[in-house]
Amino acid sequence: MTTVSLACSACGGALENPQRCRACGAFQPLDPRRDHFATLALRRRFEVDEAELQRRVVAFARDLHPDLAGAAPGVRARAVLGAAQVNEAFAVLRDAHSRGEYLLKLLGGPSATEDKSVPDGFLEAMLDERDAVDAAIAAGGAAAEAVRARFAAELAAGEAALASGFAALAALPDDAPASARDAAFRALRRELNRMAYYRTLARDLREGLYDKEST
Amino acid sequence: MNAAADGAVGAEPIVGIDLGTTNSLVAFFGKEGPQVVRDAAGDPIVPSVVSFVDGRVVVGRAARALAIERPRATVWSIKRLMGRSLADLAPAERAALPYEVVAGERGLAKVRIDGQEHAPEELSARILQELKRRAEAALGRTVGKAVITVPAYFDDAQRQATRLAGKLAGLEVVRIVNEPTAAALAYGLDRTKEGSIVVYDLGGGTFDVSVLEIRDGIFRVRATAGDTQLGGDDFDRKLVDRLLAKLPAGVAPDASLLQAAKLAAEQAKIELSNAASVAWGVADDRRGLALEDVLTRAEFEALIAPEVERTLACCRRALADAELAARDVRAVVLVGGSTRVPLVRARVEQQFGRKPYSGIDPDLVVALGAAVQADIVAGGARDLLLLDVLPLSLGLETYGGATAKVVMRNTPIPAQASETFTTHVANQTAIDLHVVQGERELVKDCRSLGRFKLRGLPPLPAGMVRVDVQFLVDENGVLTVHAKERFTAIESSIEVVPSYGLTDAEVARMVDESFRFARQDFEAHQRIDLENECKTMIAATRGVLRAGTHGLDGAALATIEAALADVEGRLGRGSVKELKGAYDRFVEATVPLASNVMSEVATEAIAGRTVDEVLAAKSVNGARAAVGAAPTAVATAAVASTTASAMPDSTDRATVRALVRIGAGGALASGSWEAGAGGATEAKGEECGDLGDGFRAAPAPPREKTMGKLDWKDTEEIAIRLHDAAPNVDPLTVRFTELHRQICALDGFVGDPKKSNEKVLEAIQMAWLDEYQSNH
Repeated sequence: MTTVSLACSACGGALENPQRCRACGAFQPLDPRRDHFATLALRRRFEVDEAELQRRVVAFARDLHPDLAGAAPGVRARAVLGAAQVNEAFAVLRDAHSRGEYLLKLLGGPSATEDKSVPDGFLEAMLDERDAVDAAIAAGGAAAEAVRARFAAELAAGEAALASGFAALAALPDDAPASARDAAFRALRRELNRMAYYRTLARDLREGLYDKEST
Repeated sequence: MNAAADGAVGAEPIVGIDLGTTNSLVAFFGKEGPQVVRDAAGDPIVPSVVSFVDGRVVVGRAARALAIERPRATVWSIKRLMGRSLADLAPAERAALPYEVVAGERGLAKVRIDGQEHAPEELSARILQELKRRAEAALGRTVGKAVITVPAYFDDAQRQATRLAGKLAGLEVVRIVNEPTAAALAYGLDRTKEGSIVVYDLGGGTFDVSVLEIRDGIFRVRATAGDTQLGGDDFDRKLVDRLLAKLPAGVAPDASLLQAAKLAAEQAKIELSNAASVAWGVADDRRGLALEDVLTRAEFEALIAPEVERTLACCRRALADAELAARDVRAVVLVGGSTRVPLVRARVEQQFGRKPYSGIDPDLVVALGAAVQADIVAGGARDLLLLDVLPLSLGLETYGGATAKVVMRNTPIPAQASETFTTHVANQTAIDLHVVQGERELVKDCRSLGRFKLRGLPPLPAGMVRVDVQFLVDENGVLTVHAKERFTAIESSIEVVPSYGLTDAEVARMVDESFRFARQDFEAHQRIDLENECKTMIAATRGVLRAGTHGLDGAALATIEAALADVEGRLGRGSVKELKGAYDRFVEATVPLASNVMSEVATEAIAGRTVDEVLAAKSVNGARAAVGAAPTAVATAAVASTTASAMPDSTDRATVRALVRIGAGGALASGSWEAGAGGATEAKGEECGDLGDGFRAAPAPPREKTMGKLDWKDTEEIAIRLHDAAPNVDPLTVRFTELHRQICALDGFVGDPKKSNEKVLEAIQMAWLDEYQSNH
C-alpha cells in the first residue's frame, strides 16, 4: 500500500488523516517536517492514484474545514492551517510535472535553475513546435485539436518516463556509487525540463485560442 | 398543505432569500425539503422594485405598475448600487437607471427621490421586509434570521452592504452564499450526482458561470467567471433600441416612454420563447405617438447573438480554469429567467454537448438552494460542506512595478503558498512588501491591498538576502501575509481583506482585462526583467574593466565596449526582441573577460591571497556578472524566461557562489539603502502603523544551542566538521548532491536528509569555503 500508517497522539487509535483523529477529534501537533506526501498520508513515491488523491482531499477537508471543525479560536486557526496545507499538497501532487519537480527536490536532486539540460536537438525541435502553436491558433478547429492532443501525448509520455526514472532511482542500492545516483537525477531533471517546454506550449495554445475567440 | 407546521421544524426558522437584481424570492426548508413562499395568487416572485407615492413606499408588482407613471420615483436594479461609489458606475450603467443617483458619504451611491436621499441598503431593506412579511404569513411565526445569496463576484463591501440591508429589515444574516453554489445545492439534495457540474446563471442584469465538483457530499467550487454587465436586460435594451429607431426625427424619448418601451420589450421577449413572431409597440397618448414593430424569433436571435456568445466565452474560460473539457461535465444547470430564451438553451446545449438541466424552475432555484443552506446552518443537514475558491489572484510587487502572483485565482480556500524573494540593491536593509490583487502583470493595473515593511535586513549584496513570504487565506477570504528573512529570522506580517473596496464590476473587469491584455502585459513584464538584467550587466562589466583590462587586447575590449553601447542605446526603446538580441551579443562578447577574471581569481587565491583581497581589487559584482555571462544553452525563442545566467558547469557555479558570498563583508560595504522588492516606493518612517493591528515586527528568536547533535541550521559547525571529515573534497567545486551526502554522513548529524535545500546547502558551502581558506 502507498498509505503511511500513523497513530493518534491523544487516543492512540489509527490515524487516517495525519492532522486530525477521526475517532477522538484531536488535532495532531503541527509538524514542520511534514511534506506534501505526508500531509496526505502517502508514501514518498512518484506514482499516485488520482482517484485516491481526490478521495483523501475531500475526506481530509471534512476533518479540517473550519465550517465543520468548530468555531473556538484556537481550533479554528489550527483548522484553517490544516485545510490550507491539504489544499496546497493536493495542488502540488495532482499534476505529474509539479509532483515530479517536488519529489526530485525532496530527494536532493538538481533544481531547474541548477541544471537546464534537455535532450540533444530538443531546442531546435521546440522552435518548430512554437511555429506549430502559431499555426494551430491561426487555423483553429481540428488542426488545433490535433496539436493539443499531440502535446497531451508528449506530457503523458513524460509522466511515464518520470515514473520509470523515479523507480530506477529507488531501486539503487544504498551503496551505489554517487555517479549512479547523479545519473538518475540528471535523467529525471532532463525529462522535467522537457515537460516544462510542452506545458508552456500547451498553455500558450490554449490561451492563444481563447484570445482569438474573445476578440 | 400545512406550511405553518412544516416551517416549525427546529426552534427558530431560518429562511433562504434570493435578493436579485430584477426579482427576489424567499424560501424555507420544510418537511418535504426546500419550498418557496408564494402569495395568495400563487406567485412566488417579488419584483425588486421600490416606488414612492406621496411619502408611501410601495414594493414589488405594485411598484412595477407605477413605473410608467412615476419613472423618477421608482427604483429598479438597486442591487447594482449596493456597496458601490458613484465613480464605480460606468456612464452607460448610470444612464440606464431612470432615477437620480447622487454621491453620498465616502462617495457611495445614493438614490434621490423627491429631494430625499436613500441609501441602496435602505431600499434593498424594503424588498427584504416584504419577503420577511410574506414568510411570516406563510409560516405563521416571526422570522428573524436569513441566508441571503449574492453573485459569486460580489466583493467584501457589497457583501457587507447586503448584510446591512438585512439588518435594516430586521433580519440577522447568518450566512452569505454565492448564487451558483446555492443553485447547485438546490439540485444536490435531490440527486447526489458525483462529478463536475456547470451552473450557468443568466439573470436580468448579471451573468455568472461556475464549475463545481460534487463528491461525497462536498461541493467544491473549481472555477468561476462572469460578467456583471450582461443579462436579460441587455436583450430588452436591444429591442427598445430597435423600437425607438422608429421615432420621428427630432422627437426624443422621455422617461415614461422609455419605461413603457422597456416593459413592452420584456413582454415581447417572453412571448418569443414560444411564438415564431410577435407584434409589439408602445403608445404615448399625450404626445400622440405610436410605435409599432413586428419581430420574428430569428430577428430577435440575431440581435442577441453577440451577448449569448459572450456568455459562452465565459463558460470556456471557467472550464479552462478548472482544467476540464466540455465533455468532462456531468451536468449543466440553468439558473435565471433569461435561460428561458430558446437561443440560450440551444447554444448552451451545443457548447457542452448535452441537454442542460432545467428540472427546477430557473427563477426559483437560487432561493431553494438558500433554504438548503439555511437548513445546514440551522444544523439540519450538517453532512454537507461547501469549499469555495479565491476569485482573484494575490501577489506582491517586485522590482520595476511587475507583479509576482503568489496565490492564483480559483485556488481552493483555505489556501497557503509561499515564495522566496530577494533584494535588488546591494546593502539594502529593508524590503517594502506591497500586496496586490488582480490578474494583470503590472502593479498599476492591479488593486493595492496593503503594504508592510521588513526592516533590519543584514547588509548583503543584491540577490543574497532570502525573504520567505507566506500567504495564508482563510475560509472567509481573509489574507494574512507573513515575511521572514531566512538567515536572521527577522519577521513581519499583515492581515488584509482581499476584496475590500473592490466593486464587482472591477473584479470582472480586472479578470476580463487580464485576458485581453495578457500579451501586452507579458511583453511589458518581460521588458522590465530584461532591462533590469541589462543594467546589472552593464554596471558589472564597467566595474570589472575599471580595475584593469584583464589581459584582453584592444580588439576584444572594443568589441565589449561596442556591444555594451548597443545595449545601452536600446534601453527604454525599440522592441524586446531587439533588446534581447543586443543583450545576447553583449553577453557573448564578455565571455573572454569572464574566463580571464575567473582564472585570475583562482590563481591569486592559490598564491596565498584571500579571496577577499582579490575581490577587493576587482569588484565582486563585476566578477559575478562576468562569470554569469557565459553563454547559455537554453536561451531560445521558445523560452518565456529572459534569464540568461545559466552556469556552464558546477565549477563555475560554485565559484560564483563563493565570490558573491565572500564579497559581502568586504568590497561592497557602503551606506544603507531603503528600496526594495517594490523598489519604487519611498521610505516613510513607521508608516506601516496605519495598516492596523496585524502589523508587528518581532525580534529574531535566539538560535538554539547545539549539543553535539547537528541539524541543517548548524551551518558553521557542519562546515568545521566537513573540513576535517572530507579533506580531499574541494568546497569550491563540490556538487550539491555530494555535499548533501557528506553532511548526512557526519557523526552526530541528526537532520532529516529530506529537509535540506539549495539555500541551506549554499550557506554550508560558503562556511566550509571560509574554513578551507583560513586553513590553507
